[in-house]
Amino acid sequence: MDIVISNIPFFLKGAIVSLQLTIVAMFFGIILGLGIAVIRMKGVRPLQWFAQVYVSIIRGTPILVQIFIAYYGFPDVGITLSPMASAYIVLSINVSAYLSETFRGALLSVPKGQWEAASSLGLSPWQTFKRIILPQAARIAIPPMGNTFIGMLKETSLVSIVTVSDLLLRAQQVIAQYYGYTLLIYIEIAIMYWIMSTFFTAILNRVEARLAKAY
Amino acid sequence: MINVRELKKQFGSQVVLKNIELSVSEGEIVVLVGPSGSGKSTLLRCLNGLESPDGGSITVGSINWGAASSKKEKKQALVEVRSHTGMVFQHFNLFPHMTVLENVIEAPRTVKGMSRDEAVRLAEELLKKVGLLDKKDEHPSRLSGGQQQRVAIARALAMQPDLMLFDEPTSALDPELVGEVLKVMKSLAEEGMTMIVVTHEMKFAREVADRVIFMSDGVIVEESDPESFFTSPKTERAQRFLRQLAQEE
Repeated sequence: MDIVISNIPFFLKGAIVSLQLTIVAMFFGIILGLGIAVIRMKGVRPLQWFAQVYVSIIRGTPILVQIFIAYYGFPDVGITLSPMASAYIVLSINVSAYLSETFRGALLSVPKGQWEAASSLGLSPWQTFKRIILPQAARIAIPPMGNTFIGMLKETSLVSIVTVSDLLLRAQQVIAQYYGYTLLIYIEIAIMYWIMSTFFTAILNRVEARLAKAY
Repeated sequence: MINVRELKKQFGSQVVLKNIELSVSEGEIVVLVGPSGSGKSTLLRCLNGLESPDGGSITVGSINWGAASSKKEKKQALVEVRSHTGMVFQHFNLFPHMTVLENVIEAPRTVKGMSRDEAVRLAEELLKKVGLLDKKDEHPSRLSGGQQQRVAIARALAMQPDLMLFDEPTSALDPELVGEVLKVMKSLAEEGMTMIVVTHEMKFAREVADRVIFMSDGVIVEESDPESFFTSPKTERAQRFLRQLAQEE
């Protein structure tokens, strides 16, 4: 049992790595995803087509395969990435494809009349987007974005395979050192993942409750 | 003030406006009537560029654009036109994430770069005029349809337009709320605002309009002063339209 306890600080560091991967992937995923959503709605034809193919490929292939391509495959064409760098890049791109669909749906759900009212008042398309459409779309997008965040937190465990020192990899390292602790240690980190998910789910529920009565 | 020449508009293969010719002078109040699908809303929407014409040209004040204008010219013209033109929509289209006051100060602040203090002063004056100053900190969802439409009028007026376009401003309202909106419009008319109003409110048209234009199937069928239009319409189509309205009431 003492092994389970004494390794908590070691695992916590891994949990922080997992969290860090999630937050960074979400940050770039939001920016990239919003860009893709806008391109798919307003871009010129070839760009629209490109964005559509991008989303289709990313969503249609396993994230583990994407990680292998970045980490093991890219060196063949002279691009060598550290485990952490490939994890950041793959997770960001992956999450951007999913978020772009969320954003597209949210942006489309803002009634056309809002665009018309804003342009009739003289707001430029960019001003309209930023001040009128985006705030309304954000409200709709935040709950599914929260779910993506929590999903991503769990999926980061896949990057342990390319030796990113996240929570799962650390568990495997500890298990390799001591005999007979396999079940206990895996249950221990499962609980840690569960605590993080539950914590963020609780926050998300509060945000959703606030959004529901905001106006 | 407004000059429309040979205006054409079609959606796909459906022709909505056929060779519309229209002039409106400053201070004039023109009411567009006609059966639904006659193109009157589309005509109104062409005037501030919410629809772009497939043929002909439009002049508002000193600004001119049309089907022949390049994308850039059109864009430039619309920026100008919209800064002089207010529009009121059937479904109000207030910004739901902003309070009443924020709705009204948004355009003066963002488009004209007016200081917040000045914009608030102007907005409060306009809200007082439409009788809703006490609601300034509410969100639109807390207001009745009639109140929302009055806020929408104040919001359009905040850009200090020379021309106001009303696209069926009372059609989405419960009957008991129509009066309060028409009252605001009437007082605006009395102040000398140039107005083009698409409406089914014939009583309003009769009392307030300088000129009634009757449209059907994308053409202007008849135009005259309200008295002669309502008492002795010249065309068979207008007679039929008025008869139908009378039957509904």
